[in-house]
Amino acid sequence: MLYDDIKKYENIVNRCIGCNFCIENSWLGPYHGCPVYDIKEFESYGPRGRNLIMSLLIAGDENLKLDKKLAERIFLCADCGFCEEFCMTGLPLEELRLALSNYILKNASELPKSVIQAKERLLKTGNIFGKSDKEKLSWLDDKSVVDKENAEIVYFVGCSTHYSQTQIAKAVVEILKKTNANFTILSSEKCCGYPLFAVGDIENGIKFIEDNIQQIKSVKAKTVLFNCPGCMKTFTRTYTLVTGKQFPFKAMHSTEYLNNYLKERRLKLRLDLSTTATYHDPCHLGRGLGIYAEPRELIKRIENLQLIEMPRSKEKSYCCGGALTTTNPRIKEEISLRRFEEMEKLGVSIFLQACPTCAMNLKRVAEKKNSKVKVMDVIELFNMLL
Amino acid sequence: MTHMLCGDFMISPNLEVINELKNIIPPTRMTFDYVDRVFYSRDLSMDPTELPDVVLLPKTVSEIANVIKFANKRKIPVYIFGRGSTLLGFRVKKGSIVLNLTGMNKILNIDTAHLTVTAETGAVWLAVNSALWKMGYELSSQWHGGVISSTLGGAVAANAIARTAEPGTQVGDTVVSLEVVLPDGTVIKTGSASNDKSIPFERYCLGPDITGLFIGSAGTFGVITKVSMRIRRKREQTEYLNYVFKDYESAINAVENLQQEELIQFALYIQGALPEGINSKLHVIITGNKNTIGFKKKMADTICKAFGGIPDNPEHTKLFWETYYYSWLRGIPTQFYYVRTGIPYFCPEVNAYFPTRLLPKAYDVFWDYWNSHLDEIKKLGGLLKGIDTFIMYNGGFIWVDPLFPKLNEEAVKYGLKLRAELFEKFMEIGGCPAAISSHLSPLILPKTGATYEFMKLLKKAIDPNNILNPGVLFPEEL
Repeated sequence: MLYDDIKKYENIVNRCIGCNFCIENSWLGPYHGCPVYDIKEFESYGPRGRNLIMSLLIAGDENLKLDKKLAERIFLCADCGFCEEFCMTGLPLEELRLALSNYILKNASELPKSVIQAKERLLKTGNIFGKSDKEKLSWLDDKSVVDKENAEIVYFVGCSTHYSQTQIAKAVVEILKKTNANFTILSSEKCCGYPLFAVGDIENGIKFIEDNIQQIKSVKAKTVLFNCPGCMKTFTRTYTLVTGKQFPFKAMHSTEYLNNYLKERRLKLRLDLSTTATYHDPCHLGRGLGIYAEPRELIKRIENLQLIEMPRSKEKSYCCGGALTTTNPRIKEEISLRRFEEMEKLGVSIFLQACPTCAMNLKRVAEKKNSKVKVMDVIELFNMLL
Repeated sequence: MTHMLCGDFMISPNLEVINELKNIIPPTRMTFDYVDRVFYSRDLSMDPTELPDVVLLPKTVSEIANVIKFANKRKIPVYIFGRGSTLLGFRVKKGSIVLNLTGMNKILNIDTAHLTVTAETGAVWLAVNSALWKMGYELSSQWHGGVISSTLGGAVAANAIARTAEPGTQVGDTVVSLEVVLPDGTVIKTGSASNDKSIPFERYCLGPDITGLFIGSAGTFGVITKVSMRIRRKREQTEYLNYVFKDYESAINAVENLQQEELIQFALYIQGALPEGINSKLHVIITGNKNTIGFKKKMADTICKAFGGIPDNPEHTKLFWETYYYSWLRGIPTQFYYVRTGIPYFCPEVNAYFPTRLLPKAYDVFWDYWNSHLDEIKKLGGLLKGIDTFIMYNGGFIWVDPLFPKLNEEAVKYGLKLRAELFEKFMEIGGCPAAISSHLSPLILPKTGATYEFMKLLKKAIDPNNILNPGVLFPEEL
């Protein structure tokens, strides 16, 4: 297994030169890029702290106790990828985090409850919410799209969309129908494995990915469509990182699919009333998969909608709390709030994003604040207009 | 491991002490965790250090003042930590408190009428500069490279090197006023701000230049809590030039002429780690408005060519200036620059200011030393990242960056010895190191004789219990 021996990272982890570009977003003013550092304010909670822990472990430092407190610190990462994007020495910080969490998962004297419970829920039910299989497709009215053998596209819905942000799933299905796509949804779909990777369980994460790959193979489709960037990144990037294998299908995000469709047909859409919106770059879609242009091209296709960029956008985007949904919901909420407040300063009416986890986190803040701003996925907006 | 590991605490078992501290700083901003204690025990150097007992994250001046009063009463050493981004051998003592000042990072006031910015000590340089850019201004002291993520307070306390060739724009030159917590907990302001009815706009008033006492003091005389610095209108245009020179005398002659004509905002002369056949390169950055910039560029180009400079790719100069990545100085993307042989290195950095005319001699001294030790250096896997000179208006700040394998104890020891020897050699020929810390100050400062004695006298008067950064500039026993 790739991560069994953390000693092999000795030459990598010690290459950090301490430039702090991993936590800083000063290009834009007094902001921090690493959301966890932004909240905790001790640099040792950021990537440099994790690097230090790893180098102490490798050096066999007996003063470092692998207890619950240390484990909590290591799992306190939003997996937003800001650090790796700007690392001056080009360190593979995501891989290092994965290797360290895997090590802690196997060796810590006690693990945080949230980590144990997340893992148990997933292994028992196949989804991060711990819901029964019956609930999986309850949002879908037209069951004829399920398990179609000759479909060209498999729409991989993902846990957050299936069980929480079902309005996005409905919008995707409706758009696929409106665009005459030959698609299917697999009843056997299970979690992509992302939450397992988030808690360092690489072995089970791979199993989840490969189980899904087997299921997708059964319908002979060549393309897999995702509206969840976390799932898409897990299948494409993470799978290759941890196994060296390639995801054997063409992966496409819903914003790419729709943008291609509209571009080919030179279609423009229109809002009746002039309004303003901003777009939050989901970490896994932007820094993770490099998809920045498509959502923007889409938004620009809507007449009467003015896009106002967030101060922290594209590769400098600030996380919504992401992976902390599983491991530390309290810190996640503080991060979501900060992102929401950054949006509020722009005075826009619509807060767009393209990720069900971002939708879940940001909507929760909107509800708590009783905000009039409409938080929605780009796909939902287009489904209303198309 | 280079840490002198000490799992035992002096403060933490003492509940009374902890409770007293908790009355000053909330527990959420206080950590006794081993990881934090190691993290905040030194800068980026490989010098041995000890572990503090506690790391605190103050948010207000009064919290700092109360911690200092508490420490004075208990005679507990307090170390001041900004970003810890120097390579100069900062170390802490066992049983101490570390004050991590990065939590105090607000920009308090941008006064465009009087051309100053006032920020809390932990404000990051680039954050302040970026906020100013949005308003069409910038810090008068323009820096570049990794140091942009250092804090303003840290840069002033360490007398960080300004990357500027314009007169009056070194970091220290541009400090207008400071707010400082003295070692007894008293809070003072310097310059015009010391008059409560005035604002920070003039440094040289109301008695002696107290501001200067704290610049480069490495936190030994007081804790800088607020910094007011000069700002200026952002320059309208920037031009980039880059020349290859066959030898450093020619390059320095060109530099001297550029200095005399006051043409450049920034120039960096580099040697080492350059392609075969290139002795040195000079990167030149010129700023100005549309009426003046063309003339400045033409003049600078004429001067460099007159001394044998062959124009090279200015895109690298531009990339360095715009992205802040040092690697572009040598035309290399950052992800390749730091990998080299694939093993981690540490950099026992050597630095010193030299007057322009002394620069060639300094290079001779360096290269003589380096070449005569090359066999040993190579044997230990050492190499030269580069010898770079930041051009000032009348001199240069030489920055030697050797690299030694970080995980090889023998190589680390040798690197630290090399650093010490080179510092001494630079001092002997008139070099003046700046930004020095715990492991270098005993080698350097005593050589200033009576001046050093005077500094110690001041330290004793200001900090009789020697609680503030003991051992950083002055010995632990004064």
